[in-house]
Parts: sequence; C-alpha cells; structure tokens
Amino acid sequence: VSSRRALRGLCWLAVLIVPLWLAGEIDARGRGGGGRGGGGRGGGFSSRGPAMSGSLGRGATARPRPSTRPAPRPSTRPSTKPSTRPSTGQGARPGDRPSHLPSERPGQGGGGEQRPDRGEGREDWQQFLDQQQQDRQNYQSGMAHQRQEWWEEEGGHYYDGYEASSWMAAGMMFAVGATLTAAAVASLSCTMTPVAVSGTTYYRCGNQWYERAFTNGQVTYVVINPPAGH
Amino acid sequence: MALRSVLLLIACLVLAAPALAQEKATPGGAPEGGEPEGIDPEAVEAVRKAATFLVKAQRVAFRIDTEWDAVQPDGQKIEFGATRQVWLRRPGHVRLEGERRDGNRGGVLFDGATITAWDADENVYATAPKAGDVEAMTDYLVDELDYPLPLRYLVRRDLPERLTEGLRNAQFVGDAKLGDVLCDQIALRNDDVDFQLWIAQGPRPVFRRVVISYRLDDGWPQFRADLSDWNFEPDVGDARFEFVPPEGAEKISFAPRPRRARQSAEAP
Repeated sequence: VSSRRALRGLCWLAVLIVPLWLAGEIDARGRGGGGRGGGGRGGGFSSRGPAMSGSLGRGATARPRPSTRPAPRPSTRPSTKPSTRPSTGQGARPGDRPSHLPSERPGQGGGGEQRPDRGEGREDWQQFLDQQQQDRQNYQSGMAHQRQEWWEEEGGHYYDGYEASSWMAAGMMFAVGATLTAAAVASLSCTMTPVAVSGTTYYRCGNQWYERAFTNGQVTYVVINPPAGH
Repeated sequence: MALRSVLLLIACLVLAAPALAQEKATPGGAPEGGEPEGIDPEAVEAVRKAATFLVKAQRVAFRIDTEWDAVQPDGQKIEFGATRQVWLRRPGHVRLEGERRDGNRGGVLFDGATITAWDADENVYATAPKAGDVEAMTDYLVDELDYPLPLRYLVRRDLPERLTEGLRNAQFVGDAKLGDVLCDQIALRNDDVDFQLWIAQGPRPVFRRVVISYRLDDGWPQFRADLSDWNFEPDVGDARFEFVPPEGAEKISFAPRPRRARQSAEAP
C-alpha cells in the first residue's frame, strides 16, 4: 500500500512539474529564436569572429568570439570608478559631483546661510579637487587595467571599436602595447595628431603616444612610450 | 486499484514524453544526429583530385567573393564580405588584392623574400622579410604577424592533405548547378567544422564554392566563398609581385601577436 502511495505521489508530482518544465523550455526557445534585443547599437557591428578566418579548424586562426569576453559595460566598471565621468578639463558638471561635496563652488553665490565661509569652502573645494584627481587616476588606472585584461582575453584584439565608443571615458589612459582600432580612436575625446620624429611618424592624442601598425589585418593605433625627447 | 496505478503511470509517461524528447535536442536547436555517418571514399577522392589539380598548376589566378557571419555579443548574426583577386606563381610568389564591402581596399604580396601588406585607404604599408615559399609565407603571415588570410590553404601545395585530414564524414550531396557550371556538391565534417565544397564537373575540376560552418561556436557562424574567373595562364611576371609605395604612403609595422610579444618582453 505504501509503495502504491509513493507511486501515486510521484505521478502527481510529475503531472504538476512537467507542464512547468515544458513552459520553461518553450520560453527559452522563444527567446533564443527571437533574438535578445540588443537594439540601439546601429552601425557598430563587429565583423570579427571565427568565421572570418575561413579556416578548416579552430586553431591559431580561430578568434575568441566577442560574445565570450567579459562585457566591459558601464555597469561592470571597476569599483574605483567615481560616480562621475572624469573631467576633460572643461569644468566639472554640477551633476557629476559626489554628494559629500559642497553644493556650490565657493564664491559663485547661492547657498546663502548654508554656504560655509570662504576659508572652509576653499578647503572643501580643494579636498574635492584632490579627491576628484585621485578618483580620476584610479578610474583611468582601473579602466586601463580592465581594458588590458579584455585585450589579453581577446588574444590582443579590439573589435572594431564600437564597444569602445559606448563606454570609453574621456581622458582614459591605456597600457603600452594596447591596440585601438580607428573606430575606437574616433571615440576618444582628444584629437590624434601626427608627429614626425627622426623620420618616423608617431601619433599623439592627449598625453598618449601611438604608432600605427597592422593588427589582425586592420590599421590600428598601438600605444607606445613617448619617443625620446618627448 | 492496480489498474488505476497503471493508468496514472501511463498518464505520467505521456506528459513527460515531450520533455524527454526535448532533452535529447542539442542546446540552441542545432541539428544533431540523423546525418549519415561514415566516409564515402569516392567523395574524398573527388576532393583530393580537385585539390591536386590546383596544386599542379604552377601559375593560376582566380577571384574569391567571400562572406562571413559575425555573431554579435547579443547573439545577432551579421554578414560581412570581401572580394579578392589572387595571383599565384609557385613556389614563391603570390599576390592577394581586394576590397571589403565597406569599401576598404588593400592586399598582401610576397615575392619569395619579402611580405608586403598595404591599405590603400589609409595609404600605409608594412613589410617583413621572409625568405621561402608560399607555404612558409602564409604560416608566418598568419601565425606570427597575425594577419588574416582567409582560405589560405587554396594557395598551398598541401591543399589535398588540408582538405582531407581528420575527416569524420564525407558524402556526395549530389549535382548542383552554380551559374552555368555543373558541380559535385560534397559535404564534409572534421572535428572542428562542417564544410561543403562545390567542384566543377568535367576535365577542369576547380573549386567553385566553399561553405564552412563553425558548429562549435555560438550561433554556428558560416564562412562562404564563391570562386570564379579561374585562369591557368595568367600574367604573373615579376611586376605583378612588386610593390611601389604610392606617393605619401606611410610605412608602418606589423604588430605581432600581443600575447607572444608580452611573453617575450617578460622573458629575461
């Protein structure tokens, strides 16, 4: 009798669970077949991938897929990232300031009674600037580090730069040896300027120096140390 | 009571059957099973014959129209493409020149001593010394200089081995007409990819189409190539393999594989 009860219990359990399981399967297949959104990135598709090689194997010519990389999106930025986008030197935006900062720049009016006196305010503002500078350095360092990891993960290739344009921060610094596609360069806030040094053409963008090279068949900008004398 | 239990059991099996069947399906809906297993020696021989025919040609020119799927991070598959013209003079001269669909023009050439790559739009070029034959050049270009060369095995003398090594499946699909050319369509599978070849029937068994499916990669991206304008008496004089930098062209370098470069930089 007990075995019959157990069998009956199992059957009822199956009757209850199987439809839920099937529903899950159908839902999963429906999502797979219908795509996963990804809108709003028009024109930024990567042409890279294993099928580009035309190889008959997955050896040296097979490239890691973009879909397998750790997605360097804003939500995954290092914890050292400040709540603000690093300033390009064009003035910090009020909305960018951390909440612990004075609500107004000293000497710019507003605040009235709540405004600290000038000396205290100047000190606070200096602390803000110092903190912002530190945050910026940490952020840049963190981003460059993450970029480097991604670069290594991908076998040293950036993919067409559309990822870069969506999350690259102004003033961001890259490790020497990092490679940027033309699209990634276009997303930088600085202007790439050719500089002839001893017969060789280098490129400068902000404080970073580059030279052009073929990387994976594309003309890219490779981060280098500054040329001698620069 | 026993009858009731049996009926319940049957009900359970009926409900569970679709789920069990679903479990057998390959994730992602990829087809699995059902394909004919085994190798048809005649299909392999047809591939080897076409490959040998090409290898025996000391000079040849042909056109490749390629397209490939690039699976985006969100899973969407986008097609890209390029057109290339190939001039080959064995054993040590090759020139590949073409244009991507985005309009970028460039190419690679090799004269038995130096590899030159150029990008006409950026007006840049790079050179690398490499003495040897086309086989050594393609290995060096792809593996060391990290420069992609799709279908590079088509210009190599080990083409028959490349196409037939490690096969797990080789079958004739049947006759297939591509344009005005009647072809044998042959489906092959190795440990990594599925690929199909279309080989012209008749006394000149040239490859007319190649389709490669990367079944181990997400989205099963494909590489497709149509091969045409086969010319076994092309003009492949020395001038074909000389590179004259355009006015104002900037000489740049090949960036070696970063991982390798980093390792060598770290080496004492």
